[in-house]
Amino acid sequence: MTALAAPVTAIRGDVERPAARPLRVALVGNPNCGKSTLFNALTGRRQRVANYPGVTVERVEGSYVRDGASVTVLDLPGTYSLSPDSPDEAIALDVVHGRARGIEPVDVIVVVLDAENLERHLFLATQVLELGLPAVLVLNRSDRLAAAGMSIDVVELIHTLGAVVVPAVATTGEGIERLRHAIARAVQLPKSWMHERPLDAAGGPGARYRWIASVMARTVTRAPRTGRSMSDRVDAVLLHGAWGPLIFLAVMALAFQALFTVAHPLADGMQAILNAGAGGLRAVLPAGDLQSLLVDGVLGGVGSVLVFVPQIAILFLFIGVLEDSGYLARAAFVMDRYMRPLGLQGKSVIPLLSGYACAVPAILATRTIQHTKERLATVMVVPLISCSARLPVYALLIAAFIPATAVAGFFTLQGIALLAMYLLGTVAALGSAMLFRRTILRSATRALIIELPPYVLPSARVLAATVWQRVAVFLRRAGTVIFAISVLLWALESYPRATGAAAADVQLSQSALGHIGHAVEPAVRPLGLDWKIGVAMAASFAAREVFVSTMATMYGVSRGTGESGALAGRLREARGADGRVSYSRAAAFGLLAFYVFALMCTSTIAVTVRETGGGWRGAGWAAFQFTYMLALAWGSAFVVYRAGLAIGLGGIA
Amino acid sequence: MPLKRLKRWWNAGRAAPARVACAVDCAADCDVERSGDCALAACKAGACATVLRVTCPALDAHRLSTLGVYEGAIVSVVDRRSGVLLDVCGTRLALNDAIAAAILVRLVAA
Repeated sequence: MTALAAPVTAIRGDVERPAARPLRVALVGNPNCGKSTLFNALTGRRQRVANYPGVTVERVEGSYVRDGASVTVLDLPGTYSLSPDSPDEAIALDVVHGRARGIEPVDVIVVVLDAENLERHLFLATQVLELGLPAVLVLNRSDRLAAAGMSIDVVELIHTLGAVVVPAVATTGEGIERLRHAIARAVQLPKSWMHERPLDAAGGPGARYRWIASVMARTVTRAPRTGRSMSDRVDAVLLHGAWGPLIFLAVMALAFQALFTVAHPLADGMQAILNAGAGGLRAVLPAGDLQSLLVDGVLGGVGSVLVFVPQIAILFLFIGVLEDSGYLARAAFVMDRYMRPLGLQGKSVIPLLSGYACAVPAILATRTIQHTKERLATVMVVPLISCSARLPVYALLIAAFIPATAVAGFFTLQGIALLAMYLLGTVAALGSAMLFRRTILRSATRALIIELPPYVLPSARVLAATVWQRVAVFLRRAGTVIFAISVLLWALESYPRATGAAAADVQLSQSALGHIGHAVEPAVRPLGLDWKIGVAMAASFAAREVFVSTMATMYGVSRGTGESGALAGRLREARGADGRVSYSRAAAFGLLAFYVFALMCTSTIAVTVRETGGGWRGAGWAAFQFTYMLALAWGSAFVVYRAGLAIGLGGIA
Repeated sequence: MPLKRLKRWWNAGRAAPARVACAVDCAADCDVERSGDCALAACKAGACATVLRVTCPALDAHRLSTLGVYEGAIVSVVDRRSGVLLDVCGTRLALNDAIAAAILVRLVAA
């Protein structure tokens, strides 16, 4: 085998591969060519996902063993050509050229072609063949040719292109073994003639397409198609000017309902398991610092990460179904005209709507936006949308300070106040997007050029792999940061120890966090608030729902069920040393405004750092986001408080 | 019959029959009223045209060309209701009106 291979590699002028190093294969192909399905068929479950150094493009790698030798497969981002057009495409190009940082050069390039759309997909294939690297072309979805009334003369195609062509069906695994064989042999075969005579030396993409048209005429026969295809029939409804956006909104509403009805029990179940674990630890360990660290710090911290997992998994399952079925492209096209005045594009709609559930998966969902500045602007404004974690805070403050007076029959002042909070957040998010796209993230709004792939049934295996990849990435990266901060917050809450057997509220007020509360009092005083709120606010910078439990501790209301109702009463009746009310209605409204705008979520900050480039660059964007949201929160709380005082809401009635 | 009227209303902006390949002559079933040079944005659903010039920024022009819309390419308009939906080499390509206005075409049918 090696005796035969050696002279051939010598002819190619390459250094022979050391036997120990696994063969490295890169999969390239247009978006929607079934590349991910083929990747799954090739590698099975032996996959791992990471990011390319310095960019947020995902790097998916897998491997398989053939004839005792391991073969590494790199699934490159989908690309239409070998000239970079987006960060994804630039990465694909760098890897193919062997100049990607931290990535070993590849030995074989596998170009995945959709057999039904051969003409368009040959554009990329001919560019790859011109590189002169060992290459294998895969005619994916070749089982659909007969149904489409087409046939492809594979032998003629091999002769014309001077390259190996393997028909395959990734969804059924047909032709995969043949492909593995072709990959193993590819390094020994001569280069395609195209390496010496590149096509667009003559004149641009036109020349390439004209040549491809001549190849098509020789190799492809097809019966004339009559009538409209299934996809066109579906599109006649889904791309309708009025129905299209309505159907999209209905689909999203369904998704969020699923998020709440499915994810909440799962999150509660996870919480129950963690509580059981905490109970177990309490029983086993003696009461003291170690028990407190493990139960409140470690388990509490891990819990705050884990409760996000069901939401992330379900949202990505949903986005995966939309994307793989071909609907996401239609939704982006239909919604584009509504997002354009904001300086965003159609694809920004999904992250923005997802923000109502949770900002963490919403920021991860911006990955579908290719244009960097539009993506950054979306990431920056998503946390302004009121997420589900703000609801407990809204519920507490509204119950405490807004009477349930009926207005116009069915509605109460409380309900209207809640709606106002959500509207305030939404308007702020859209307004900020407009502002950012006209100032710091200024760029011409990119023209909308989007391919609408034919509708297909998504592959369960690919979906499962995608969801698992996202969850794993979240757990690995965000998990470490959130965990560390939770432990830090626990330490701030627990030290220095109050003397003697102090009650929880005394301990909290004498801890480092209590001191921080006193220290920030000058900052919250102009908002009509006191140090107790300061402590709760300081604690809730880790996660805003902590506000409720911290206030419960401060006011000696036992944690657990019904804390919100009892606490609301305590807040209303709280009196300062001078006998005046601690929290006026104006101050409470200000506090509500503060919680609408402030970025109080460690997970969101961690994900923003990661998704805006990581390292110092990402930290810079996250710091900017945190600062402007804090400034917006404080400023609006101040304005609301002052305006409230001016119209006589200084007391509580 | 109201159902018929409903159907006519529905079909008013309906998609035209799909074209199969770039290079096929599609003069037979194109319902264009006049022949001549115009912007792609001015074409009706069902029109079939040759691209003469792409006058948008270079980056967009490049993306268009890799997707099959280059000078000399034959495209047909599938749908005109929101933006322009094109049939290019058998694939569906959606453009917004701004970019469709920057593509000068010559109608193939008379």
